[in-house]
Order: sequence, then C-alpha cells, then structure tokens
Amino acid sequence: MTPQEIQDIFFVECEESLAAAEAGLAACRAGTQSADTVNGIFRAVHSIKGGAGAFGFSELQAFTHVFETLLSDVREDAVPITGPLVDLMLRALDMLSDHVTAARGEGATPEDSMLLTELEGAMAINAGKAPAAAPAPVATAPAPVEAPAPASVDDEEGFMGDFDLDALLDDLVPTSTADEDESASDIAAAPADEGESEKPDWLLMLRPHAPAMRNGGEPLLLLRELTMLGATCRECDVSAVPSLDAIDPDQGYLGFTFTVPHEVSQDAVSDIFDFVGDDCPIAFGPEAKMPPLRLEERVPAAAPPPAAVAASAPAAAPAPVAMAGTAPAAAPQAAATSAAGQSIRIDLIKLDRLIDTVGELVIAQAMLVQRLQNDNIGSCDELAMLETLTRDIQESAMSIRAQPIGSVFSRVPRTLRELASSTGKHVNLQLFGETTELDKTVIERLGEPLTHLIRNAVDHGIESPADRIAKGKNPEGTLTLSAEHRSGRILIRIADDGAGINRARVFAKAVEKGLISPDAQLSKEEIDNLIFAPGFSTASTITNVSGRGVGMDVVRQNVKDLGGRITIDSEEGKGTTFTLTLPLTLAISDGMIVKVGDQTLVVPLTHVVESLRPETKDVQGLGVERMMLNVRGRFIPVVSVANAVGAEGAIVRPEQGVLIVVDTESAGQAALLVDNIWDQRQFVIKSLDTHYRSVEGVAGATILGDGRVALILNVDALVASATAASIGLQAA
Amino acid sequence: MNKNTRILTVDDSASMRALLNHALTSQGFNVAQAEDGEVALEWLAMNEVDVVITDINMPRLDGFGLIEKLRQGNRHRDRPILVLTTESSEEKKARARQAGATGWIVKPFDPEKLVAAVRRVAH
Repeated sequence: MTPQEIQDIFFVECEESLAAAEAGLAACRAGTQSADTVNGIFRAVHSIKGGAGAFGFSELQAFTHVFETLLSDVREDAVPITGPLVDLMLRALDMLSDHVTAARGEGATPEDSMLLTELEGAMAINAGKAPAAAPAPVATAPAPVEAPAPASVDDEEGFMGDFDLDALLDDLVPTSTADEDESASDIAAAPADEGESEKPDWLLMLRPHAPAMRNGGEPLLLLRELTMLGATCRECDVSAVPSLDAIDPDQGYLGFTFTVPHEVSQDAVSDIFDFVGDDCPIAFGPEAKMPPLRLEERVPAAAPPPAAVAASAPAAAPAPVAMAGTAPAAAPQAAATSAAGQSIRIDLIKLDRLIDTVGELVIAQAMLVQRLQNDNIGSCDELAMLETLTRDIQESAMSIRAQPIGSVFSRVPRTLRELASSTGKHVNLQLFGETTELDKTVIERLGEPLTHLIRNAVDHGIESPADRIAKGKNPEGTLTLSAEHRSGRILIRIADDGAGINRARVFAKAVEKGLISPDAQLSKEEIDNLIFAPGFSTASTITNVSGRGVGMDVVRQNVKDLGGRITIDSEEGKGTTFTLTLPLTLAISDGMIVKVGDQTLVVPLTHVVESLRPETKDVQGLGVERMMLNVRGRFIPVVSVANAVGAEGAIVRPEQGVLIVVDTESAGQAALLVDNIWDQRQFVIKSLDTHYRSVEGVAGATILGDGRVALILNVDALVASATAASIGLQAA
Repeated sequence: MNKNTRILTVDDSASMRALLNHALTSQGFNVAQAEDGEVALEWLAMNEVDVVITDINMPRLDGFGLIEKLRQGNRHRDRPILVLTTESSEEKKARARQAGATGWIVKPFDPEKLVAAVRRVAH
C-alpha cells in the first residue's frame, strides 16, 4: 500500500467522521442526545486529528485540537450543552469540513482564527464560573502524587522516586515549553548547567518499580539497549533486596547507576525510557549534580525496602480517585454499540467485476431454465434450488454496493445553514428513511441534484418569514426528506411547506421564453413540468443560491442518467414535493422484452408509463405519415419501432399490435408501436460501443434467456428522431 | 527474534491501521489488526501474539477497557501492551498505567521510534 493510498483511506475516514459528528450534533440540537452522542462526536473529531497529525496536515491538526479540547470539556460535563454552544460546534464542524477539503488539496485553507477564539472562549477554563469540577482535580491529581516521594530527595537536586518523567523530559528538551508542573522549576536548572559544561561523561540513575515488571514490561531489555549505546553499569544498588523467602519476583528491588559516554545525547537515552513513563523512573545529569550513588547514603530514613514499596503506595492511592472521577464517562462508552458496523474495504473494480459476473450468472441460469423447459425437464427441484441460490447471490452482490442514503442526507443540514445565512430563511429539517440503502454510484451522483432541489425549495419554495407569518404559517419553514424502497426502486421525496408552484407565473414565463404558445392548453402537471424545460428559471432575479447557470433541466437530466425519474406534486399555498424514483442498482435494469417483426428488443422500464391494445377509434391519422394516440383525451404521437430499427414483417396497424406509452426527456410522451410484449425481466446492459460501435437509437445490448442477443432501445433518441422526422415531413 | 514477533494493533481508524501495518510489516513484524477492543478480544481468544499496540478512543470497547480485560486473565498478565494515542494528558497516562499498560506512545508516531519501542518490550 502506498502512502498515497493510505492517505486516501484517511480522507474517506474524514468523510465518515464528519458525517458521524454532523449526526451527533443534530441530535444535540434536537435535544435527543444520549450519553454516547457527545462521545461519538468527540471520537470523530479525535480520529481526524490523529490522522491529520500522522499525515502532516498541520492546520487541520491545529484546528481539530482546539475543537477536540472543547468537546472533551463537553464530554466531561464541564461545559453544558446549550443552543448557542451547539450552533458554535456546528460552525466548527463546517470549518473542519473546509479544513479537510483544503488538506485534500481541493480548496484554500480556511481562515479559522475567529472561530478558534470563539471555541477557546467556550472552553471550561475560560468559562465565567469556576473551572468545572471534572478537569480540575484531574489536572492537579498528579501533583500530590509527586509531592511525597521526591520531596525527600529534592533538596539534594536528585530526581528519584515517583516524579513526572514527561515533565522532566519536556524541560530537558530546549524547544519545548515548560508547563506549570511543580517540579519544573527544580528541573529547569539542569539543562542550563549542563549546556555550559565541557560535556563530560554523565550519570544515569534508574530504579524500576514493581509495575515496570508487572505490566509486561521487562527492564532488562532497556538496560541491554542502554549498554548498546555504550553505557556501563557503575553501581547496582542491592540494598533494597530482601531475604530470599521474602522476594516477590515481580517486585523491583534494584537500583542502577550507569555511566554514559559524553557523546551519547540525553535525548537518545530519554527515548529508551520515555514510553514506559514513571514505571521506571530515571534521572540523569553530570556526576557533580547527581545525588550520591547509594540509597542509604542519600535518604537514610526512607531507604529500607518497605519505604520503596511505600513510596509507590501514595502514588497508587490517588489513582483510584482519578479512576472514580472518570469512570462514569468510561462506562457508557464501553457499553455503547458502534454506529458504524464492522467493515472491510474493497477495490471498487473488483466489486464491479463480481457484480458483472453475477449478472452473467443470472443470464446463464435463465438460459439453462429455458433450455431444460424446451426439453420438458424444466420443473425439477435442483433447478428451483439453483434459481433461488442465483437470486440470493445476486441480491447479496448488489447489497455490497449498497450504502445508506444517510451519507447524502447528512450533508443537508450544512446546506440549510448556509442557505439560512444567505436568504434569512430558517428551515427545519425532517429526515426519514436515512438507513435506506441504494447503489454507491447512485448515492455519489445523487448529491448534486439533491442539493439543487433543496436550494430550489428554500429559495423559491419556502416564503420569507414575514410572508409566512402573514399567511398564518410557522415563520420557520419545514423541509422533509424521505427515502424508501418501493417495488424494487427507491423513492426519494423532497417536500417543502412553502408557497407551492405559482402556475400562472410559470405559464407566463414559459410563454415569454418561447417554450409554449400563449394559447396552449396545459394540465396542472404539464405546467409544473415546464420548470424542467431547458433554460427555464422563474426567479425574477438570478439569486446566488439557486440560479447558478444550471436549471432544473440539469437536475432532471442527472436523475435520468441514473435511470430514474423525477415528478412534481405541488399545491398552491401548501408546498411542493419532488419525488425521485431511482433504480437500486445501475448494473441491472428492468426491461420489457418486445417483438417487432423479426426482431426482439428491450424497452427499459424506466421509460414505460403504460401499455395498451388500442381500439381503432383510439388512433387517429394526422396527414399521411403520422398517427396520434388518444390517451384519455390527450393526443400523443405513435412511433413505429419497426420503421426506426428497420425490422421486417412487423405489424403496421396500431390496433393489431400493442402500444407502449413512454416518457421521454426531450419529446414528451410517445406511444411505441410493437407487435407484442414478450416478457418483463431484468437485464445486464452490455455496451455496444466496446464490442461494435455506437448505434443511434440503441442504448446497448443484452443476452436473452435463450442465448440470443437483443438490442436495448434508447427511447429518448428514438422518439426524438422519429417525431422530428415526421414534423420535418409535415413542415415540408 | 524480531522476525517472528507477532503484533496485534487495535485502532478504529482505517488509515491509522494502514500506517501501522506499513510501519511494522516493513520491519518484518507479523502484524494482525483489529478495529476496536471487542474485535481484539475475539481475535486474541483464538490467536497468539507477542505484543499488543492499542488506541484509547475506540467505539464499543476502548483501550483502557481492553487492557483491563487482558490483565484480568493469566494469559496476558505479562503481555507487553503499548498504548498508541493522540492523548497525552497525565490523567490518561495514569489511567493507562493503572489499567496495566506497558508503555505509552503519542500519535502521530515516528515509525522508527514505534519499532524501537516494540523491540524494547518484546520478550
């Protein structure tokens, strides 16, 4: 795995963490947070911080650090969760998201100094009241621990016993800043003195405690490493060793003094010990500065073995107190179950290959069924079992690519916040069905049209607070996003409780744009659908919110590209609902298999509205070439598929065949004339381009159950060219 | 000895796991990975290991909990367990020590220092 790949994993993780934090903060805002909610937010931010450090994104790391510190205070109840605090944290989250984007190299590093100041201002240490109980005792806890033990030796400028090793090391490294630790002042003198000296060999004293051996530590390894650096043991203090029968093998009884060559840096030695902490306390410095070698010479009273044990006893005593203080925080964390399940990461190409192969398997299985049925041995148990298994495999394979739509929904709150600040319209968000799963590619490509629809709903749909109050509505609008499975497809609804579509204005605008004639008779639905027409925009001024050069036509095209459809349901004064109908997967589509003369063709089901056997009176001629179908009082053109694809021996008269009413992108509805409908089934699209060449009116090919190849009709192109041709004919 | 040292790393971050895996396997260590304390416990129930490196902040079972659980039994009483975390507060270190951690490494880690630390505890 290359560093770049690892970094890519980190960015995926960032997105997951951001989504998790967003969800957590949303719960805080709604007041539905549990004990683990804040924990989850903390972990999410913490995880980003860890990676940021590892990958060297210093700005990102610096920001997350401050954010994390505040979250830590919140987690420990040192800072109460209030509305303004949640808002502040949401803004911090947005900023964090920008930082992540910048780290990825897709944007400028955001200016965060103001927000950092705010975050710092919200922390417990800066709160007006006394620093809350939780962190304070913890921070001071180590102090009493150190106090008793080193006190006895401090006056001799030595540092033995239970001292804070990290504080010591921090002070020895010139670049690091001294903290407020009590022992800092004592230790600070050491490096200064040391720097002036002629770099003689120096002394290292160490005395492994009992815990140094109890927790899997092995001081011998450290001593061995020390000797590899060139250090020699000058003195081993055995005065603490008890009589043989009293020896506890886990207990540390020995103290060591090493002479370290002057060329070995103290940092190199610190490195050996720094990770064991004060289980194995060390002290070092020039010989003159060090306390006498023998313990009994140094602290006669405290020297005997019981004292050594006693020395660690006070250290142990405060610890349980610290434990008790943090235990409540730890308990829910351990008990909580993870929101994200266990997972592995797979290269998408491998997955697509699997799904493609499964698609072939489905076809092969269907072919086998057909073959056996032809030989009258189709109804056997083994075949039924194979069919069930094949279907199970297909469903499992497709579910691997499926992801919950929540990842798209989770970005909505931010969009709404941005809209609120730019439009002044505050909108409540209601989400339903966030766990509904759909194909990863669909999810990825859904974000843009969804965002556009949401911007549109807030900008055009929901009225200004003043207007809403005037209408007796809640001044805050409500946007409802929902997702659900319905008969093998996904329904996504974006509903606002705004003014609804102003049809008179839409109509006037369409006339003005030359999209329709002024005397056109249009149904409500047709007027509503005008907003999807290319170049249509009802906003009298192009706002920077939804008027960005792309209109609803692009939204419709995006949805269409995903094999989906978009419909509008609007009631004036009550609001508008956009419904997206999307396939569960892009790999396998539903299609109607139709016979046209000597050809078998597939009509993708996404286009099909209905199919019917027309009676003679339903179809009326229009000139010589054109025929129109009367669908409940509306006339739509009849398109002969046989003419379009050049099939021979096909039915010419609509009343003898079947008409399939289809929706098209650019030419409205049309009725496709076919001989009959053969079957309706799933098919795997094989591109014609890769195997042959692109053919107008044909979207691709698939293999039928009997092994024959069938072309999949590109309904949009087919209808567009057929109607254009006949209109051209008429005009001529 | 290092060639055959088996290490279990426990971290909920996939990128951190990848970094650890890279840093350790490139030095010839035998690396297994778990994404939280629960998974680590399950894995350890079925497998042998020489050194455990664990994060602190993890869902389900955090690092403190993991270490405490491991130290309760005889099997891992003397197992070297290194804590690898961004936490650097004295309070957290004290808790880790109390729980039974062998050592403490602060993230972001220097691969060389990490490897040195592992060698220092692997017996």
